[in-house]
Amino acid sequence: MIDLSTTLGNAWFPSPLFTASGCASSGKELAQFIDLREIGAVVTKSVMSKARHGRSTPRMAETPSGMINSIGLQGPGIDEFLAHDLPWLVSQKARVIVSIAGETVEEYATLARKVRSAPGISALEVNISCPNVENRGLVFACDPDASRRVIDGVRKTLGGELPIIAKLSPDVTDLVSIAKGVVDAGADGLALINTVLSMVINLDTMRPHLGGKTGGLSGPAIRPIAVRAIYQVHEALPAVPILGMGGVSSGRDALELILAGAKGVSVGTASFGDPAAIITIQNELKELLKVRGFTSVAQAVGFAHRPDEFSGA
Amino acid sequence: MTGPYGGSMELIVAPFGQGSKWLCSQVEGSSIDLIAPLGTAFGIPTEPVRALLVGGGYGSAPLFGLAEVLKNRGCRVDMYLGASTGGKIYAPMEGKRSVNVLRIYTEDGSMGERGRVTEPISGLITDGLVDVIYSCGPMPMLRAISEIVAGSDVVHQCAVEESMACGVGICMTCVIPVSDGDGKVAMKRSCIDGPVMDGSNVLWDLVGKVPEVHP
Repeated sequence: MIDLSTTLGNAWFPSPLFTASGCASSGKELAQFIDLREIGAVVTKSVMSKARHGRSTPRMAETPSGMINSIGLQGPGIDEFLAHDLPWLVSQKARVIVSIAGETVEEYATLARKVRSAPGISALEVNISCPNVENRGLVFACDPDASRRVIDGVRKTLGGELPIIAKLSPDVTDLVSIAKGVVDAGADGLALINTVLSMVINLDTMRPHLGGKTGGLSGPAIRPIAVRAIYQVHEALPAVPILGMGGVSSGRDALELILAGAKGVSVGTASFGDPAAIITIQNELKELLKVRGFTSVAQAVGFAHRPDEFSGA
Repeated sequence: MTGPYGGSMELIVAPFGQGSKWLCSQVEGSSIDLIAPLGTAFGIPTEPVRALLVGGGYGSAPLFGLAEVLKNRGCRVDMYLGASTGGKIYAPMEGKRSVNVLRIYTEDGSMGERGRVTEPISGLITDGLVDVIYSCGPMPMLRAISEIVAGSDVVHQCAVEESMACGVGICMTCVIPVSDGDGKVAMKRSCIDGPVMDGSNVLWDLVGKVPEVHP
């Protein structure tokens, strides 16, 4: 028996496999293909205060071993989300991590206040790193001070119970210092990594292919970046739980992120090709842990950081 | 997809991107995972109507099966196929089996009549010769038909096209601006809220743009 259970802050999950925010909508569509109770949690698409149309099409481009998306946080707004989407997930007995995104420090605090009174949430993901916003200055996670202020505002509004997971961008020079900043400000965990800012130029039009010009790169192409980010942050902050994501397509990939230091792993782009991918990955992970002699996920978390067995011998 | 494994289905694929090229390269007997059907289908009238099926390029592919269904319901079925050139008309002979009239239009005149497939439609509407138009093809063609139909009683069901990553409603890449009836714009997913939409609800001006009006 392999114990797949994991924790993020004070939240417990029966499996370390999660959906990735923005890759599962609000769970209803995926529920046609998988039993939502079998995975760790549904991480919902980042929701803002008001309903939002998002960016213009084309919103995607295929790239080698990945894709670029430019959705721009299309969504129903927090009130609609809390009135319909969340209660549906709760009624399905799915565990839920609600992801929020704002344009200002105040908007994040307002979202946190609304989420605070909603029942059935395991944790709050604070997405401060969406690359698809009109003004790149709004990517809080690229600015250590802005990152801290957002998390500080959310923590103060939320009170002490619900774990806060800050979702960070890999598009920074010093990820560890940003991670330390948000943890100091009250984040209980970190989600690493958001998509990587990127662009494709269409050779027919000879202009940027995406309606929003730039987009976020996801898929296997970014997995080594995710592994590096998780490894670096876990090394610097070993006590801080990490929800890892970035191109995970197999049990092998999930184990790689866990060995680097992730306590949970989100599956995003792989679900587009196969909506049941997360279940396949979960089964493969279980097998790979067993083969390596682990009896729990917890034993494998950060195992790549262990001291050299032969040093000092 | 055919063979000694029970029922068969026919897929018509244009080798365009990575995935469709991969699919077209599969050898006979390959095992392929697939999820189907997805999204909305053409609505079938309960009473016999006069139907016009309009296909642009490869867009004619889903119309042949539809023609059979409509014909079996006692509908009069005409089919107009169009493309820039004759080589881009998909299976023109296929259409002959189940339609009353088949007309082909090419912009370079290399097959059928020279001109655009949309040109004769306004005449049909004025003369009251059509009740429902079913269309599939490039977005500009669907838009042109919607504009011709506007103001008449003719129903226009069109199969829209937008690039999509997942096909099951989770990625939000394939959205089309649609009127929700209250003057508001909803960005609907063409994979599950479409591909077949009522052409009069699609806000063609806003396709490929960000609606100014807030949701």
